[in-house]
Amino acid sequence: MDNVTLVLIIAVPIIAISVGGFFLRRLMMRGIDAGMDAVRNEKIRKQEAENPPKQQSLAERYAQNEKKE
Amino acid sequence: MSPILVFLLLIGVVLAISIPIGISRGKKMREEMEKGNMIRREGSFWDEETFFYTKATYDEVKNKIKEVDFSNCKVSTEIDFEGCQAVFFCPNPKYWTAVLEYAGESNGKHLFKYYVYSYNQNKLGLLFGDMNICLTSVEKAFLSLDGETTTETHQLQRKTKRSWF
Repeated sequence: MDNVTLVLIIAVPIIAISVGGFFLRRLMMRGIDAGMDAVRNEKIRKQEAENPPKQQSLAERYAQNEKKE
Repeated sequence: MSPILVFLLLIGVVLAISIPIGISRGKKMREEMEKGNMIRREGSFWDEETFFYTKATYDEVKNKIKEVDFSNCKVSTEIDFEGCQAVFFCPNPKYWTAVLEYAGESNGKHLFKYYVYSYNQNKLGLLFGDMNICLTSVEKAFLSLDGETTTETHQLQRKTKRSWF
């Protein structure tokens, strides 16, 4: 077996595993993101259903913010 | 030189660079707050949509936004974005973008919706100051047009998008 073939036999699987592993990791992270988004969005839906947001005067809000400062 | 010493030295260098950067950013944000360019906001305001109920029409709001100086939050604006009654705020699409769109009428008032359309979560620590300044500028624009403007905020349901590379 010549040297080139030997190098290819060793290098190709290493490269394939590295590249494959990289994309598998990205796929896993995408799955985690989708799961976390689903949980978060459901929590938001429930919170808004239980406590609907109220309208607030913008001028009053800025006046309150100035008092705090 | 032992590996542990090299490691400790590396940590020291990283801290020596990052702490002054953090302090300088904190000082800048404090200054912007004192100037009134941004206000204290609770929670993650970048994940909220703000509805403005106002007597001002879209044309009045649009013309007012044109007069506002957004240079301190590095934002450029695109009015009537894609032919819609909307203003697009675009500092750098890779980092964050925001939209102010006209959403019709409600109880005799004009309704506008402002929200951060997208942002790079990895850079949020660097961006939320600019987002705050942009939103504060928009709110002040509404206040100058109609002192009786009211707002309502809702949490946005987000979808995380991650690139393959």
